[in-house]
Amino acid sequence: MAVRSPGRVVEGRSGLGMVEQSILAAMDAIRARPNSYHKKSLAVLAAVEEGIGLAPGYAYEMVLDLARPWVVPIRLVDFHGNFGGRDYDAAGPRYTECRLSPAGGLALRSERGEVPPLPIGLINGNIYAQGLRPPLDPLRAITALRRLVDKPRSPSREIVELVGPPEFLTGCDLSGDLDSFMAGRPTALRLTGRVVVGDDSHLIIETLPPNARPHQVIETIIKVDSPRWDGTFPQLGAATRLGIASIDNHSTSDDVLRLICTLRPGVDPHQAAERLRRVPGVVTEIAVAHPVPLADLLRAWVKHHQSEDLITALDSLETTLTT
Amino acid sequence: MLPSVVACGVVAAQGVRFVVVGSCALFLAGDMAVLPVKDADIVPDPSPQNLDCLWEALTDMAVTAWRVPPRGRLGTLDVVPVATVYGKVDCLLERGRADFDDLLSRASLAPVADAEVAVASEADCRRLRSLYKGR
Repeated sequence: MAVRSPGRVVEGRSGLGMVEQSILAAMDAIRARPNSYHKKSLAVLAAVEEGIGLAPGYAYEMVLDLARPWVVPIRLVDFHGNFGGRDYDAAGPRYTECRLSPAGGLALRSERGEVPPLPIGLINGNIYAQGLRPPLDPLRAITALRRLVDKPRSPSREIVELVGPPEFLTGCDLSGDLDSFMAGRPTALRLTGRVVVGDDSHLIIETLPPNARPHQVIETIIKVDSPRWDGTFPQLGAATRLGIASIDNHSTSDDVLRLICTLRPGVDPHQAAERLRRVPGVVTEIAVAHPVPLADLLRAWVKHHQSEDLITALDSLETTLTT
Repeated sequence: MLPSVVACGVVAAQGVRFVVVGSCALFLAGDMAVLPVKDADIVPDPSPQNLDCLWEALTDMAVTAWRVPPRGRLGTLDVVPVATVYGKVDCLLERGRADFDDLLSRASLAPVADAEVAVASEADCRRLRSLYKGR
């Protein structure tokens, strides 16, 4: 995968890829606009297929991702119906409806030259499409870009501080070589779900990495904690077991995760929490890389579009995101 | 204990014959410079009985059992990566068909808790690394 050229993310007017643009254009073509009624997803997919020949199965996955709050920080699609959850699949396109979100409408206008360029591709990244650029915090990225418009010679260190670390949207603890990431070198970032000690006998998993499915994490924990080695390889059993007697899913929505682990008597909750944080699913690694150092990428975006009214564009994007 | 090391121990505890290679092997031989060890690379004995045993172990340990290739395919595939509940395990099956006996003859045993795993010699590990990773 080529990662050395900033390419479309800097030079495109919205920074979005061809498929994303085609989906937005298809929605507009069938009048699934921010202030209109939602339209059948099937009709959108038909318009995409007619436009660029992308089969509905592929396009629908992208439509869903562009609407999901745990996937992209700037949602370009406003969905009506079951767009799936962390633990369950979306309803088929014949049962769902969608339209452009306000940000999606703005992105399309930007692509058409009706408003100045917007850094949407830069902020949303492309991890959701199996790429290497993670999403950024939208408001922090906008602030950093504004600074570069005002003071193009701002030091990279200052820009990096303003833009902050990647924003993975599900509230996980982020670790790894962030300096390499900021410097544009390929690296892997570790996302660890938040495990808190409730009391002496309970642990609560409050967040999981974006690609983790809660029910699968529960199955993994049960499997890891199996007593099968206790008789034949007791030391191996001691090394693998977590000390969990039962685990219950008390999540109330996709946004509020709550997996409650009841510990066996005598198990130290802090040690158990530490082990739980190493279980696959609770922790994951994501390969990341920017084509150039992050500050240079933002600088390149500003420089490439310097002849346009970027401050107005950034203001309009910020307003769209905060209202 | 590192997740990849635990994964090796659990595979061994299930009676699978294999040699650990790669950074996990170097770590087990005492080389801390290879940290962090992301996954366990194992070269299994290619005999049909052992591949049956490996398939059962992988199916038992896999996060999603249906992602393990069918039992009969292990004899023909080259590399099978499996996300286990302990960490990722890469099964280098083609290497096993070519080299298992040689690797085993130069391997040493290392304890993983109360299980034992065969660890390839450092020279073999470095040779295979250069073969697979070009360095």
